[in-house]
Amino acid sequence: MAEIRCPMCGKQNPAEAEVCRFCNARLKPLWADSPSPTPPDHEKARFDGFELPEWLSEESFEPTDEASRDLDSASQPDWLSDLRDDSEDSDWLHRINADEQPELPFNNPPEKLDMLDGLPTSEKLDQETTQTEAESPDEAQKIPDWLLKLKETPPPEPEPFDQEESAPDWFSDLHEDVLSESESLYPPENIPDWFTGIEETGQSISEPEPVEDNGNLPDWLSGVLPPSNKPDSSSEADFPAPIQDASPAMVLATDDDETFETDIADLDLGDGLADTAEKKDRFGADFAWLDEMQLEINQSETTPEEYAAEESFELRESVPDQGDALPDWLSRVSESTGPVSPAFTEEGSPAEIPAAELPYWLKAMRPVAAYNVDGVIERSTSEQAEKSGPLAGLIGALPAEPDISQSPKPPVYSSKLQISDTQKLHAQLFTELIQAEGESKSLPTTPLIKSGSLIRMMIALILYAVVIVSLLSGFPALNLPAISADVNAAHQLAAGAPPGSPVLIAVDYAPGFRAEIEAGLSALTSQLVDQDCHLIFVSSLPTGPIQSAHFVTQGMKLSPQQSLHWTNLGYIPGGAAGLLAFAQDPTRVLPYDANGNQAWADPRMQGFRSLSDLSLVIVATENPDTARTWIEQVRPLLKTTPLMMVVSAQNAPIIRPYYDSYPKQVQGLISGLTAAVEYDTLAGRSGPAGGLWSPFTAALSAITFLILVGAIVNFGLGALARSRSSVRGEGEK
Amino acid sequence: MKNIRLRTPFLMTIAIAFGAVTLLGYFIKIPIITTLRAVLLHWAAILAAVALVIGVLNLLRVHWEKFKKGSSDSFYSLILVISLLITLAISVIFGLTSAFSIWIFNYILIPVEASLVAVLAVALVYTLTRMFSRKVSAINFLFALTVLFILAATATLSWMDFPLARDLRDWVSQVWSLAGARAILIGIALGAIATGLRVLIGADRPYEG
Amino acid sequence: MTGMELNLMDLVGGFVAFFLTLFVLSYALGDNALFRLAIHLFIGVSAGFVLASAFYGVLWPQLLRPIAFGTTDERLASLVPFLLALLLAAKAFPRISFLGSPVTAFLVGVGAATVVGGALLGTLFPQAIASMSLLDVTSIIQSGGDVGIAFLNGGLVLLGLIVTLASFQFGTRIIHSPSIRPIWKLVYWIGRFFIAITFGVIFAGVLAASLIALVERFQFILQFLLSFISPTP
Repeated sequence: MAEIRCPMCGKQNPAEAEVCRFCNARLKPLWADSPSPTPPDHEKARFDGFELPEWLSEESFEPTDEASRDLDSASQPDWLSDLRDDSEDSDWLHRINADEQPELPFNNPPEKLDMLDGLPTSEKLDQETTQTEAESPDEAQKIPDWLLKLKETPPPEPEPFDQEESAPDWFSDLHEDVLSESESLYPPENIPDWFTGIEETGQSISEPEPVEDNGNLPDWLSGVLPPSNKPDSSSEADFPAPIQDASPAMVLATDDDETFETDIADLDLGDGLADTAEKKDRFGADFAWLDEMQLEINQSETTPEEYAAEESFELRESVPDQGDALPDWLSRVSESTGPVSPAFTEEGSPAEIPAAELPYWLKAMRPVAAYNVDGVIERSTSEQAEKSGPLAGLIGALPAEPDISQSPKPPVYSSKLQISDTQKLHAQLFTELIQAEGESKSLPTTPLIKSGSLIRMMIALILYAVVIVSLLSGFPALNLPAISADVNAAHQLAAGAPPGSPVLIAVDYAPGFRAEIEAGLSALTSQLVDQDCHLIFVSSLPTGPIQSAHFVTQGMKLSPQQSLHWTNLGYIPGGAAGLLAFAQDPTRVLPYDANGNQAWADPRMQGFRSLSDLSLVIVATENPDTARTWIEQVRPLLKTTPLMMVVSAQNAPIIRPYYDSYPKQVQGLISGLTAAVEYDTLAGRSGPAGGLWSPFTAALSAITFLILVGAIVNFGLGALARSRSSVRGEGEK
Repeated sequence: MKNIRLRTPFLMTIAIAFGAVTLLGYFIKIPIITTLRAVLLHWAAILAAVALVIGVLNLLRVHWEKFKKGSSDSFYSLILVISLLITLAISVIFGLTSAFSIWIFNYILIPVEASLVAVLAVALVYTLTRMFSRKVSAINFLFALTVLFILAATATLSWMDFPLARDLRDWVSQVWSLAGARAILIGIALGAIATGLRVLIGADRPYEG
Repeated sequence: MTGMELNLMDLVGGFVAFFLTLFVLSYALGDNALFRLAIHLFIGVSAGFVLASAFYGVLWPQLLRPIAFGTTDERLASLVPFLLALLLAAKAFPRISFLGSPVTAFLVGVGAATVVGGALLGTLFPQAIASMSLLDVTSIIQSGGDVGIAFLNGGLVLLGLIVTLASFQFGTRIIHSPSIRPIWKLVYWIGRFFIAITFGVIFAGVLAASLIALVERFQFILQFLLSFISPTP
């Protein structure tokens, strides 16, 4: 059985079927089967290279069904027969590039067809071509069945067409868009040459006669024609009426397929609308708006080429600019569908049909960022009109390419780093912190006179004044201290040295403490000199030899009656090891005196070969470590030789445990100026200690007073500051 | 000698060996040990003097180079170098205990060092008074109270004879202070023993490098 | 300096000492150039005396002169320390400083042994014995004085000694830890009590010593100035 392929869904159907059993598309076009006119040669030459697509080729327009083939040429209107016979008229179809196959915007066309339903697909054309070759020429003249059916079916009572109420909003918007774009889209100067060429060659292209419903028009055609729509002579050609009268609005792609969801069979094309008035009565609408639209389209300034540059739909390029009114069947469609609820509602007005809610999974699938569907749809339904091709001038034509290829440019994201103000501030602070690391901070300028310096100067002034006044005036004449047990013991110890016996004196004090140490040492040595003891000076300090000499020459304050016998053995190096070595064998460690002479050759030194030969060892030091070293290293080797220490008041507490031990490690202790004064008093002599005692005591009293007052004042100020800071801290909390 | 592997045990052997002989001499009265110990101590004393000379010469070199560089303190370095050389020259030419040496000691060394100690008095008084500006703990208060009592007692005795004050002062300095001082001394001794033994057993090797 | 002969040397010296004293005392106002000058002069003079004392007191008579002018025995006796001294002198030169390491090790070993022996026999044992004898009635009687007061003082000293030694074992972190027993906290605080008293007495002594030096310096200045006004014959 012969089968034909559905032009819409591409599925095979029986040859006798008129509608597709899968998608209900018309399998056989409504046009009459008439031989398609061939274009004249000169027109062919003019449009070389502009080949018709197969679906618009000469053969495709041959009526395939029997009805269209049987159409008597005599009954045909002249314009229709001219259309078929005139090869030149059909040349424009041949001019269309046959290679440019229309690309349907979607692969799955809707079940209901639009105006292109009757146009066969390329596959079908191939089949039909083979079929038509076998068919008789007469059959080609027959009216197609679908046209006949349309004729038989009485048209429904059209409801008054109220553009404002019944028409869907998209349609009104479409109308408005078309009106706004018409002037820009179709200026007379923008009409392509091929289109104007057709106009010029009016000989080959006969102007279609005005449509008149004189009864000669086939029913299917009379119903299609607009009531009073004379095609513009400048833009009109011998186009088929459906195409000629079609406006760009006819090919506008729309999602609302229901608007065009109409059965062609419902269209009453058989009545043949004679004039506008009749059509108006029939459809109850004023089609003046279509006329206006056509005028606007004709006056649009946008050339087809410009429009084609904007759009890439080949379909639009291939479709010639129509610039005429809507065909009747399209206007009937809008009327016959009845009141159409608006696809979207105005603000504040609730829609009768609620908007469909997409399922969540569909929403997730819907690309949002990269592919702006709205933009595509918007653009596809926007005011963009076709610029070239057979659909040039039509607004709302379905894009030849799928929406995905018409995606707008993806949004360009800035390559700059987007940071907030807070982040900027943090970054700036961090940058300053890093830069400050390598920079040396400038020291804060200190005031010339600080409070601490003022207090220190005040203390110094008070102290200096007291000392100077006491030294100058001798005031106050203070009592000498009472003799302590320690001084008494030391005096007795010194008194026990045999006359002429060697006494070792270790001068291990720093020159700065000379006044305090020599005050007690001079008193002690004075007693020893009186006892004609041989004083042997040593020192574990490098400056000891010179200090010993200074003490002897200037510190001892000997009376003229006193004769001094003394030896300066010099410096004992090595610290503790040197003292131990000296204690073990003094002659080996110090073979010469401080002047480089043989010290042990002196007769007075003959009795002294070890420390145990000494009658007394006196260590004068202000350093507790030096005193401890002498006690630790030398004391064990002294055996019965007493050890006496003349120390400063600052190291007396450290030496006292050695003095207060049992058995005593230090047999005598003279500590500080007080002990020196006591010793002078005990010895009955006036030494340098006496001259220092009164100023010293006065300065001591001043210091005591200063410390007491300063402590109280600072304590009060500190307590006040702490209380203020605590109050401030509580206030901040 | 430069080999680190051989150097450290060799140095340790020297330190431990001679240290052991020296320490044994404290407890064992054998003539050989005593004699050897005396010799070692004598050598140590001499070498300590050599180290002292090397230290002073290094001080001289450092300040001389500082003067040659011409830094901001180069003038003071020059003063130091000149005074050192003059003192050395006078001591070498005229003797260590000559009148010139004594003159230098008497009119330069003693005034400067004594004045340094004298300035300390003002600083100590200021420090003690400032201590009360901060929050004073019980220990700090006791410390300051002790200082004040000792000073006051010593000064008062000159103004008037207060046997109680004297006895109290002696009691504090000779009993209460004695306990702490003895504990300090014992603690120092224990620390010195521990440090010395660490060197003698090779745990510490300050002679490396 | 009363009655001092004001010869030229003394006069010049007096002036030098006078100005140097003022230079150093000016430190009470803050660090200044005059103070630095006095200090650098002092260091130079001290270093010169040290060098002279070490060389003429030790190196020349005990090392160089025996090697140069001594007898054979003296030379032999001085040879080893001379060689050791040369090795020690290599320490002044970084390239050959390793040569002085054995000498340094010798010095360290001998010095450490000396310190150990002295601390052991000179301080630790005697002080321990002395602490034990604090409550020894025989020793108290032999030392003289009131037994009761001596016993009381001895007990106080012994208690303070034990508590202070025990407090050395506790640091701040240990004593403030929550696991420490109250008895040890009491021991710690009593020990710090005795330490505070000891340091207070030491501080008073330092203050007194510095005050004596201050008085002596002003005495010198006044005597020097007064000597121009009324020179003693």
